[in-house]
Amino acid sequence: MTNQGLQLRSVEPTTLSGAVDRLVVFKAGHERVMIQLSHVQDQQLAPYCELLAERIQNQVLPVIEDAIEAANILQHEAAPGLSEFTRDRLWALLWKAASLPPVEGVDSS
Amino acid sequence: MKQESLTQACASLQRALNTVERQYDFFRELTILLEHDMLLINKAFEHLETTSSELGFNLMWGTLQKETGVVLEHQARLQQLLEELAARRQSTRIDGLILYFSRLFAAHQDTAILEELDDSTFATERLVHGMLPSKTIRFLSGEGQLMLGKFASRATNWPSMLNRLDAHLYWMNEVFKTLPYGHCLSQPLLMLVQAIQPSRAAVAHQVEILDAISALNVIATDLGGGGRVFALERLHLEELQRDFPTTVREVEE
Repeated sequence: MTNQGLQLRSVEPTTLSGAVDRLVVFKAGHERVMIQLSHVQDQQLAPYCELLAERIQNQVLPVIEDAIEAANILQHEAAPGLSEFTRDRLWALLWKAASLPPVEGVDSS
Repeated sequence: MKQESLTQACASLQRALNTVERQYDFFRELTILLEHDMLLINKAFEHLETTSSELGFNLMWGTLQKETGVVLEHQARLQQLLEELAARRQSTRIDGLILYFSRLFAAHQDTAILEELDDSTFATERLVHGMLPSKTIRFLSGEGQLMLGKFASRATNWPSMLNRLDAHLYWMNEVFKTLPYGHCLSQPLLMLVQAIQPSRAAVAHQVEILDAISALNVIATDLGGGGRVFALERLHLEELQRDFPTTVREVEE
């Protein structure tokens, strides 16, 4: 069991190294959760699982995707040419992804 | 003999007054260019507070008008004195005029002596209305004039406007440094230097936006087009962008 959300949080404030990889793993974890949720057969739990999967799809994954894109931009060699407020906005996207609930019960390996 | 030396002193003062008048012209031209640039900037940013710059310019124009008025008065009275001397009249008018010029003569002589000495002795220069300190004259007739030439081409975009504003700040700071404490030009200059700051910050922000857009485009190309974040950031930057104001040129008939 891993807590990838916390791992990402520990990296972001100071450096971007490895942030993209962690975000990709984080995203994969959420996708796996979605698959697991779609395989739940229990009739009582299934509607809730479907709702949860939908939330991950619409509210969690776009945030992580944006964060990956933001991290890629910030890592680029031309990034120092960006204005400070643009960099702040991109960092805010990373922070938003870092503040997402961690993926519980999923093996990241 | 006394009259001859007086005539010589008057001629020397006449040259000094002509020089000062020319330097005031350079100063006025530099201020006009600054005012024009500030008007352009204010046209693009409606939110900018313009009261302090308006007050600064009003004070500057008032001071310049007063000082050049004094120069003209000096010139007129000097002409009067020269005429009286040429007519070789022994009148009380000559004494009155000499009295009028006593401080000016003294200041002129001081300046002449100080100009021959090294820079460290500058602080002793005396303040006389209508006259400019020797260092101010030196700056305006040298670098100031060169700067006027550089300002001849108009700004066509935000980066060139930022360069112009920095050049304005440079000449204002340099002139300010040459003025002794309490010189009448000090206060309006200081006010204008402060009034420029918000405009300079607004223009610098526009330059920053332009740089950011071009950096973002480079990154987008390198990363294969770019996605939602690119589009959003570009949109955000474009929203913050202001068009460079167009200047209205006078049509020559």
